[in-house]
Amino acid sequence: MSQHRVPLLRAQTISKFYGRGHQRRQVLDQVSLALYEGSCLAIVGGSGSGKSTLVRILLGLEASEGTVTYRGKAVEGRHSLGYQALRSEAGLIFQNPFTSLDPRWSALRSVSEPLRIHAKRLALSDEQIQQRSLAAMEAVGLDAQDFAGRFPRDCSGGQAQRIAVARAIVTRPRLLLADEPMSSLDVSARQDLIATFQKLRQDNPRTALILVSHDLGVVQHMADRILVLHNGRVQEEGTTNQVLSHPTSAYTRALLEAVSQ
Amino acid sequence: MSLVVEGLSVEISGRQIVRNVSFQVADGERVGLIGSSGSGKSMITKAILGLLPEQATVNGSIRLFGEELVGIGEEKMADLRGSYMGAIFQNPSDSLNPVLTVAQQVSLPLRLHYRLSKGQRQQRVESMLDEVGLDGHVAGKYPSQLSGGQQQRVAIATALVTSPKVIIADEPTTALDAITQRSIIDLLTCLVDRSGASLLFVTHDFAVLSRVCQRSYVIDHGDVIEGGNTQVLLQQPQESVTKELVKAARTLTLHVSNHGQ
Repeated sequence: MSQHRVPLLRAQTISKFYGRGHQRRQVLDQVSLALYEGSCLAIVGGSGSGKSTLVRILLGLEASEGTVTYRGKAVEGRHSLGYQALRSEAGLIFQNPFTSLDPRWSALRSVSEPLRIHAKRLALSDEQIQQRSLAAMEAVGLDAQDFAGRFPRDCSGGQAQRIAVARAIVTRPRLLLADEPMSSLDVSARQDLIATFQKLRQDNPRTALILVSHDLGVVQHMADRILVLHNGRVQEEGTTNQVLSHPTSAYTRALLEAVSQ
Repeated sequence: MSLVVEGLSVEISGRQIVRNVSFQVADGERVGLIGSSGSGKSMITKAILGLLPEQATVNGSIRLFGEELVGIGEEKMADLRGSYMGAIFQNPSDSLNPVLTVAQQVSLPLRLHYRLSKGQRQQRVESMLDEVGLDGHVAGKYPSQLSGGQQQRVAIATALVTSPKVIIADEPTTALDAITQRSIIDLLTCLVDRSGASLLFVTHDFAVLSRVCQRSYVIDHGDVIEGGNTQVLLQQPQESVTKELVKAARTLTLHVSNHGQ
């Protein structure tokens, strides 16, 4: 059914090389993917699989062979329509909240920053900005009154990552991109953050999510579809259930083998 | 007994980080410390290794083969650490010296603590690299030229090169992807068993713990709240913190049917 709609984000035959001459190496080889509104796609791969490069290309931060389109418009260079639409409608979450949050800023200031940058375009007053920021903090399960004035150093890893998620959703993005959001958290905090993402998706059924992860234990609870990347190539792509219970590639089978008890 | 910790308390600038902790590691035994981030489990290993920050006050007793470690001078401690203990930490790129080649890195403990000829050292380093599954051509490389998994193998080789009697591993696989994680864990337990050393293994993840340790202690707020056979802790956790950790590990374990055909 979803296949007949236009994907929110689409990448077609992306190839990427680094270096030149005999140093030239291919890090991505003909990677294609499509992300539909309201769905969650997990990009799964180990270190060196090319997943971080792919993410930078999807966000238009790096040039490549092949095409990326956002809502049907090409993402190529900072002045393209696709790039501008994508960057104003995407929220980003990274692995380590303590490096992605400014240590000198309170949680409220960090969370409200994206709104303050776009305040003019969005026609928001200071009071509205504050209200929406506090609401975003509540939406990720933080007691906004308690956390508004806290600095990253006063937070656990799980709490700090929630602040980073609140900052990513405060602009009500159509696309959320989370690059290994759980890897620096302990298992209890991971479990809590999975529940937070599940609630966010329920509350915002149109928002699409790209989850980059090597952790199939996390992926099984969040993704609708899985794309397995290894050595820069797509090993397989399918529904979460399909890929986890009937893997077709040797790499996926090795990955499943490594996490089974 | 390889290691006996009795009534250990650690206070840092007025805050009690470790409270009256007691546990033992028998010769050749693999023992785990498990707890969430901030539980104080790493501080216990730092106290054992004599690596606590200067302003820390340590009370109680830590005995390594009957020798008291609390209160002995820095020089004596460095000597014991070098010849009887080996340590492996979470992030290999932080624990390896970036300006030393792999061979220099692995031979450093031998140069500092043993009187060996250059040839003997070289031989020992070569056989150690072979044991951790690294090719000879890695010897001349720098940490930055290696993958995370290779770096952790070098860190293991460096920790084991002096044939220490006690090995302390603090979240050694948390920074690695699933396949690498599994192979490093299996390598570490295999090498520890082969050398007859004891292992103190720190983690937040019961899934990892149950693969590595026969016996485990659960740490919360700097306190040992529960201890015993790892499988029994997993099957019948008594304390709420333990139950929470077991539940998180189970949630994050991959549940799939009939994969791998």
